Amino acid sequence: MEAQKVNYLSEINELLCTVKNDPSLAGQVTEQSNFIEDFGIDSLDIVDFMLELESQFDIEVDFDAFDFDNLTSAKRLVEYIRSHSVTEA
Amino acid sequence: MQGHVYWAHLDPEASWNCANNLSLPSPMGAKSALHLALLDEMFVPARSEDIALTMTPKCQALHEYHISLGGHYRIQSVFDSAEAWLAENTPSWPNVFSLIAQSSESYCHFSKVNVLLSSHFQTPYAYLSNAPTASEQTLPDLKAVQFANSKSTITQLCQHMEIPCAGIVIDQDKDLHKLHELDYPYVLKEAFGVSGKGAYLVKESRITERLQRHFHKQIDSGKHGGLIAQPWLDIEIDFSSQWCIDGDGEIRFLGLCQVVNSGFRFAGIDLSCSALMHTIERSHYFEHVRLLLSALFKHGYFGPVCVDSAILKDGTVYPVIEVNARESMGSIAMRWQQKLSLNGPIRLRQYDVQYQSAIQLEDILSKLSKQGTLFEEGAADGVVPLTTASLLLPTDSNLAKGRWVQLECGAQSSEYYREALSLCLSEVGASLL
Repeated sequence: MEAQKVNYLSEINELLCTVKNDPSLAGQVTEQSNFIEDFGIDSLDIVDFMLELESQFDIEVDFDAFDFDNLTSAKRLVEYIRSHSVTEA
Repeated sequence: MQGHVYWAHLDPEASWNCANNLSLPSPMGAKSALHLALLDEMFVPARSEDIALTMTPKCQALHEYHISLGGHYRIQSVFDSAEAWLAENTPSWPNVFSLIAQSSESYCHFSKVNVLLSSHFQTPYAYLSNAPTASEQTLPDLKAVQFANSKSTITQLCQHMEIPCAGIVIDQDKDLHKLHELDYPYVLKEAFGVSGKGAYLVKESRITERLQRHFHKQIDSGKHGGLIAQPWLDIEIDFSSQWCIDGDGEIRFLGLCQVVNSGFRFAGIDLSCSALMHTIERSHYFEHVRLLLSALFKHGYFGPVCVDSAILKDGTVYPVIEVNARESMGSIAMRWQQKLSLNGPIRLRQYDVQYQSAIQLEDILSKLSKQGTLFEEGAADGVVPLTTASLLLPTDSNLAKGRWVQLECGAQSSEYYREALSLCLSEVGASLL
């Protein structure tokens, strides 16, 4: 279970580096990370970030229902992905 | 003559938007930055007898500094302190006006606002339909304001009048397939989107298909309209022109400014545009824009207008990218230039600032002055801070990010002034983002 979480975080971290176009963010995401405050994900980045998450984890987000607070903690985001992932269900 | 009351709600598009409009993916609860509400002090009144009505009190040190440069005007605020504003859950101007309409007399600061706006002519940054108004003042109605600000209606209007303005309006389910006809990349915009939100650059068909599913879902739930798709423009220079449509329909050109953008993000304004003016005067620019503004007046709108335009890399003058029927950062820069009688090259720049504890503005002004960077009476150049309220909040309010906006006067580069500001802020534990 722990290894699985580490993989999620690592893959999310890679997406973050791509969306922010900032390789120095590699290895920065922890369970406590707040994507908004810690990495400056703003309203322009959010859509790219979410669409990349969808593609990477084979999920489809209902944007009109997605809770913004899921981006305030990497742990919460991983839980969201796992609960919406076909392979995890 | 009685002074006018100036007040500014800097996020009016959210109030003008129709809940039924289609919207781009945006996670629920993603709110506009709270510090926007505190930037209202940038909207400077023209005359010394005019009153700037702000949400929280303007910092006395900043006000005295502006007065030292000749920027006299009266100040009044809805709340007596930033703490009082925070304690009442940081209401915005629409919230304040709703509470006034509900006759919440228990909030004496709201009744003060009601009395002030009902007894003076007002000059708002943008019209809000629920703002109290003096009986002798007529303001455009909400429908006219929405018409003039909607990217969908402006696109259709321009195309009807043969004013160059490429784009397709996405209104219903059957329009969604048109997205596949566009070359990549293209830009999807919400009817009432603004810089930083409500616009998205679509780079590949995979994303088009995903967004179509998103919009189909919204249409199934009863939403429609409110989107446009524009081709990606190969822009050399972004610029905007500032106008006023008077109540009798006269259209006055107020000025031109070059807009500095970073992607979709607004970064600043350059007011010295003589070469730009020369270029657009040789095109049909003014003819096209006047035609458009006449049409807006016929639809009931009068008041300030900012037209966003561009010169493309091939030299084409592209007259209408967007219309903002309100004041703008360009008009704010021009108002300050006039207020302080500034000459020479003038630029406006804004920076997000991260801070750990409330900044003492006196310290920053003093540090900038010692550096020789602060514009002072008799100086040839320097920076004029315009707003600092969002940096003065206690950080236990969970607001550690604010915005610094300054005018830059003189020949030094923006990079030079940015570096100087960064140095001063670092000495008080704050940093530019």
